[in-house]
Amino acid sequence: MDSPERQPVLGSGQQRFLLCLAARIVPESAGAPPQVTDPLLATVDEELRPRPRLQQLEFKLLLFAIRWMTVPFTLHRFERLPGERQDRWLSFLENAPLTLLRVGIWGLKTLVFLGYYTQDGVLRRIVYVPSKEEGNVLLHRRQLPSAG
Amino acid sequence: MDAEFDILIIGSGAGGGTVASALAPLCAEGARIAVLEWGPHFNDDEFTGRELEMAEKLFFDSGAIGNRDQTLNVACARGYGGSTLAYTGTSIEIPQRSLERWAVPALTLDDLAPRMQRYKQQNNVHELPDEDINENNQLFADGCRALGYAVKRFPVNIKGCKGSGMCNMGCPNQAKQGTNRVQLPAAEAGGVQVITNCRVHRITPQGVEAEVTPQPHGRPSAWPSGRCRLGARIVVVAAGAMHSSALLAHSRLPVDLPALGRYFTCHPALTLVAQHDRPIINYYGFPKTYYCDDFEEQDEFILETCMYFPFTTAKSLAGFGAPHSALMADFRRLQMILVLVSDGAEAENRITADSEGNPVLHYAFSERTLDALVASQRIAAKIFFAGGAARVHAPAADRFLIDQADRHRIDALIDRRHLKLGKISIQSAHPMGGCRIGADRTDSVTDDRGKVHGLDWLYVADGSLFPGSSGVNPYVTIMALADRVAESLRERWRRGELRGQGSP
Repeated sequence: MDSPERQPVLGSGQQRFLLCLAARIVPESAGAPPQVTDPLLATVDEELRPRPRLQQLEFKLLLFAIRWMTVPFTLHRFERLPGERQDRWLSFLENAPLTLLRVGIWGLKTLVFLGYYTQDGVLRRIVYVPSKEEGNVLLHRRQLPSAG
Repeated sequence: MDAEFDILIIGSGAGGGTVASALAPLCAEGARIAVLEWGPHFNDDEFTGRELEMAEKLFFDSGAIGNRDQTLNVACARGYGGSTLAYTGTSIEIPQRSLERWAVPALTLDDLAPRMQRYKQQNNVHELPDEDINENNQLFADGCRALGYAVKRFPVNIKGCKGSGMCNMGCPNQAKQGTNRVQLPAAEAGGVQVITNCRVHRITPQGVEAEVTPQPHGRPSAWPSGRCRLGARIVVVAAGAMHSSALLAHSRLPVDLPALGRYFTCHPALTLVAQHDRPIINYYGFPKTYYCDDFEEQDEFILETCMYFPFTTAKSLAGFGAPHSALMADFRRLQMILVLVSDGAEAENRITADSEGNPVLHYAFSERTLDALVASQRIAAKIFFAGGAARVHAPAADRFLIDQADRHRIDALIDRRHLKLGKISIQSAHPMGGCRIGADRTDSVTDDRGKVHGLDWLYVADGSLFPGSSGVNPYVTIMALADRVAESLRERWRRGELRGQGSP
């Protein structure tokens, strides 16, 4: 049995909702296999873990607020809405009059991007394949990077 | 472990490393000098170029120390070499116009230029040859020239660069000639001790209270783990603008310093991204070759080439979803420009310390800074299009991408009303001020030699000395100011003021 300090910062329900949000933020992550979603969640957890409890709580509160804010207006939780409407809600929050809300959405996006755009498979797919030792050699050859 | 020193230097970056090397000759005359560095001394093979791993290893808070409302993130590195581990090595001398704004009589180009030039020579500063310039940089130059803007080539401090493009994650080939490669090894060879993994908690008139903590990376510290009290006749604080101010504030010094932590400036910056219809060679080769400072004097911003890594790029874009993914889909088609604003030094923008001595940044963007951020995006967008870009992303635009067909409407499409703080976190890698130089202790903390007002034994020697923004990348200026501090200490040593056992 894991010791309490190794429990994930986010509970399983919060993780599932985070993946729902991730699917709107990075559409390629929608329906992605565990080889993509597990590292995404693990990276988010590693990023949240050393943060003060108050910051962890703020993030959980943000997830809670996004999940339930739609109910008074649509009678549905966020994840039950069609994708386009989810995007509109997130876009509204990203441009909200309150700085606090905008900052919250930027923090959410940042965590999702951190979990996604640092994965080796993703870097190959977007053809980010730098060379530690041969960058100038390849530049002098005028050789474009390739994923292969 | 307790020990006695004549001079303790806190921090090993551009300021601390410079002071250490400049004072090293005193060791042959019996001076006991040590550098206390919070971070580890990384082994060469630990610079892996992996973005997430290096952000956590190299930087405080993974490179994002936020202000109180989280609308600004400041990157501060730690380790043997301090922030010189993570900068790009651009070595611009401070211009006359910035010194005129500083208005400190002793800080003249006549005094500073020879110092800056000496360190540039030490650090192998030169301009890159044409063949080492990639398309990300060349297209910026082409765009500037097409629009009639003067474009300048950065002098850079590299030796044996292999073009990894990973400068900001710590060079994997040890090509950047930061203090970790030049000044600190020289200081150690001269007899200065460098103690890594050593955080200073408090400064007292008797010395410092410090703690050595094992780190998961780097070489073991030369000292055993645990708390220690170190006696010193002189303490030189060079922990970087954020941490120097916080350390002094946490130390409850026996003098009143009303300006401590205040007048913080940081060159607030945004990364702008353009997309080409074809792949370009962008991340092979040195990432930062050109800049344009045509707008610095009048409009208070400069533009620089840059090429960041995928995560850093993704979080620099406003928006999300399909358009964001489409822009990120082929990294080879991206071109980037960094815009940096010369923010004014305002007393309200300040650093305080929390209960553990960590910096707390209070920073509000002035109207002038926000206007300059918008104006700089307009100019950058025009440069992108003049260089052939198909689409441009600007955080202050009314849409995610501006198409080339709309390039004549840039001034209307990029507008202040679309720049919403917090939607994108504004970045800074140039923290300055907080212990500014000046004659009046109501609005400054140190004299023009870095000596803290009212304390004969305490000096500051880093970017926190800047009375205002440098207007250009600050590291050579930091070295010059640190050299002035060291010169003053050498003179005091040779006058016999600093000799003898124990603390003053």
